[in-house]
Parts: sequence; C-alpha cells; structure tokens
Amino acid sequence: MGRSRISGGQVKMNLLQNKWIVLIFRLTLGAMFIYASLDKINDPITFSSGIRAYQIVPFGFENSLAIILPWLELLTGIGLVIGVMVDGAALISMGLLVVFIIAISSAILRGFNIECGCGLKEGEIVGAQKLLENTIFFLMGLCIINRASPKYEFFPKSD
Amino acid sequence: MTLDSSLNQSVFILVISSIVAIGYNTIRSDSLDLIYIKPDGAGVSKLDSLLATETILLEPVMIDRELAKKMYDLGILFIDAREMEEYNESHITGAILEPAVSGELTKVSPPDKPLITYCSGGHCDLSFELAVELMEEYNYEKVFVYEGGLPDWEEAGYPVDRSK
Repeated sequence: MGRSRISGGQVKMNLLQNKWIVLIFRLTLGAMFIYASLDKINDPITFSSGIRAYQIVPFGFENSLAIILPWLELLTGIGLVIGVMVDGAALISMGLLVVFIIAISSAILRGFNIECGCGLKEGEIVGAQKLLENTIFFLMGLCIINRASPKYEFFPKSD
Repeated sequence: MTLDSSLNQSVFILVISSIVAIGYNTIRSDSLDLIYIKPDGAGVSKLDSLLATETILLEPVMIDRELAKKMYDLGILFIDAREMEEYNESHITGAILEPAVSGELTKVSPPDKPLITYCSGGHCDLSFELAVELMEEYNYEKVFVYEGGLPDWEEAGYPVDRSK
C-alpha cells in the first residue's frame, strides 16, 4: 500500500533527464553546430551553391540563407555549450534539424545524388545515414528542452 | 519582451544571428548578394548543359525554336530531312540535305559534333527518324530535333535560303 511503482518508461525518461546526460547532449549538439558552421561562414559561396543543389529554395534566397544560417548555427551552438539561453538554442536546433531532415528527404525522394553541404565532412552524399544522424541530433534537442532541472546554465541563471 | 520563454529566446538568437551575419557579409571582401541571380537566362543554361561534353544523350532531344536559334547562332549544323525538291524550294540557311548522310556527312561534321535535324514541323516524323538513324548507325553523340521545323523557323523570320 502506498508504494510507488516506477515503470520502465519512467526510468528511461528519468535517465534522459539526468543532469549529466543533458549536459553531454548540450555539449555534443552545441559542438556539432559550432563545427558545422565554421566552413560555411568561411566560404558562403560554396555553401550557397550547396543549397542550390537541393533545388528547394525559391526566389534566389539561397544566398541569404547561406549568409544567415551558419551564424545561426554558430550562436545556437555557443548558447548550448556555454549555457546561455539553452531553451531558445535547443528550440532553434530542433527547428533547423527538422528543416535539414525535410530537405535531405526531398532530395533522396527526387533521386538526387548531391552533396549534403552539412559542413561536417566534405563530400558527404545525402542518404539514410544523414537522416539518421539528424534524427539523433533532433532527439538530443528534445531531451535538452525537456530537461527536469537546468544545470550549469548562466543565462537565465540555473540553481 | 522577456527572455524567459524558449520562443522569445529563439527569436532573440535569430535576430542577433541575422544582424551579425549580414554585417559580416557586408564588410568581407568576397561578400554575397542577398538574393541569388542566375548568371544567364534559363534557356542559356539549358543550352550549355545540353551541349556540355559531360552530357551523354541516349536518344535525340527535341528542341524548341528558342534553343534551335541559339544553336544556329553557335554554328551548329542543321540537316534538312525532307525531299530534295522541298529542300531546293526553301531551307534554313546553311542547312544541308539529308541524302548527304549516306556516307558523306562524317566528312562535313564528325560524330562528336552536335547536329540538328528538322523537317516540315507538325506531324512530320522524318527529322526524328533521321536523328535516331544518325545516333544509332552513324554514332553521332548529340543530335537534336527541331520540332517546329521550317514553318516555325520561317514564322520567326529567321534566315531561309530560297536561292536554289
């Protein structure tokens, strides 16, 4: 009587909300975004033609995207790593990853054999592996935004 | 606006990123225009890709008046697939008559050069049949079929030879 029962699902959720796990996810996701942004910031012309290969962005907005997206990735990554506006950074990460997943899927469905342009490894071709990677990163973002108690965050200040 | 909610924070990050990104793009030496403009019209890029050496055609490609004129301007050889009497009456200036194909054409234009075939447009199949023959039997790599043919060419007011 009165004894609380914890289901397997709850154990998993609790594990994923563990402050250390969340911190690892924050550092991994953040580092990935920072690393991915550097080449693109350095060479927006190549990134713009990478975006163009997807044939998905209308009205010549490839250039604007090629200019803004890398900086968004960089600031988001920094936010996640140093613990500034982690909620907002996690939300942006998830939004970006959904966009990437849609873009890569559409390229695969249209039979395009194009470079990913992801900025992680040179010459990566779009495919199931990229989709899996992005899905894993998305789930990390989901865990971060659902974290139980913020730790090692400086703005807004955590306990 | 407070920065407590995740949505407000995201908007803040987005705005700051955009300002920094556009600012940095403005001062860098190899800055990009915010809107990408294709270097040329769409027709030209299609022309370039059709004529590129990397492009391998498995069968003749139908082309419209615009592309035919651009190829004409590049000096690509036109071949008239109609009968000699029709050819003598009028043909696209510079075009040669189909019978020349029987062995002589390779001397005029080697198989690695593109060719354009045409006939009387509309329901005329001669140009397509000739194009298939040129690719399959004479190993021409790039043969285009000008769908509109002579009537379409004349309608556009492009050069026609009526001298013979």
